[in-house]
Amino acid sequence: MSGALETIAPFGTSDEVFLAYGHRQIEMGDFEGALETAGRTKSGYQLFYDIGDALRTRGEQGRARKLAAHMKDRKFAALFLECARFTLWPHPEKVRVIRATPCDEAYLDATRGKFAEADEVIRKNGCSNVSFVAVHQYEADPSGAERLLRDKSDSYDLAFGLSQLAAVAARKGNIIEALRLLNDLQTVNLGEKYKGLAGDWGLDATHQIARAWTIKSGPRAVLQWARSRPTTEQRTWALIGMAEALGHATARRHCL
Amino acid sequence: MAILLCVGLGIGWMAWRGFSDRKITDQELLREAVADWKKAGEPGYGPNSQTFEQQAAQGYYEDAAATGRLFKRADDVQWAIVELVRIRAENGDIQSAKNSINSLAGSALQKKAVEVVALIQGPERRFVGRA
Repeated sequence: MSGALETIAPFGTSDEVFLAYGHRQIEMGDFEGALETAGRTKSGYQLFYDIGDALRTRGEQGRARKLAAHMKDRKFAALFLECARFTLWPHPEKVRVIRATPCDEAYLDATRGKFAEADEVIRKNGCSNVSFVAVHQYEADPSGAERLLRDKSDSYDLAFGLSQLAAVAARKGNIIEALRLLNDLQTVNLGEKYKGLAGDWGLDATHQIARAWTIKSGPRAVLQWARSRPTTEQRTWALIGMAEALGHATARRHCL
Repeated sequence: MAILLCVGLGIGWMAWRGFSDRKITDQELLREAVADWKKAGEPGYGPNSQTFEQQAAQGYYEDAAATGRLFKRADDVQWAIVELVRIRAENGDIQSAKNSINSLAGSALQKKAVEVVALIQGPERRFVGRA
């Protein structure tokens, strides 16, 4: 951290850097140091909440007054106690219980791998949003998952589900299936309103397919496919997926 | 005649082998993505920002800087300048990140870029990519 302070020093003070430094001091249990750092910044009071939080976690709430007593600036010490009281003690939240619908239960079953139970509940209760279950199910039972998606979802959910299944198939290394699902996605009629969404979902699938295919078979065959994508966006995402596969970095924050 | 034909075929075969054995690199693919965007009439607000991010993350800093300059909004161009410094520092190349800040002397971006490097030097952030 001293390197960070040296870097910023010629450019004047930086609240952001000092706050990061203060957080580090809190993590290390150096509360006196953190209070001193807080005094060097305009928004140092933000550290007061974190100090309160850390003291609560350690069960050392009593230390807050002692720390304040050692502060030279009495006004600042009072502000510290005022801010820290919000985090020094637990404030239990009011809990509101919402009864789960049978469809919610089906989604829960899917996350636990109980796909037969989930499918039965979906079919009995006519649940409309089935892509969530199908995507989980695809890992273990691809044909059952696709059947569920095609039988029970509306066109919006079907398009979303197909894009997700294509991405999962690609990650599993089943490129032929992934390409078939991506192709099917492009034939789903979503109307003018949601046409753009289907396009965006297709980009994600295109990206995943290009990445997984390049890892599996190398870039030469994939490049021909990438260049044949019908839109600039699709070609770009295919090329990015390939580059990710060939390079050493992973996908970064702004995926879509 | 037959000898000439054989020589021609041989040269053709060698040229084809050379082409088909040529390694496709991530750098070329990312450049192609930018070129494709230009060829399409430069739609939207600029090339895909993920192309820029990947170029920077893979260490192709000159390419990333060139892609960043193609963004059409001033805010995006400025974001790209600071982002490039940040990724460089995250890649573990703190000194060259600092050096690249020197070229921003006198601009408002300089302090922002310095802050970004300082925060990466701090303990809150872990290096990603190449160390």
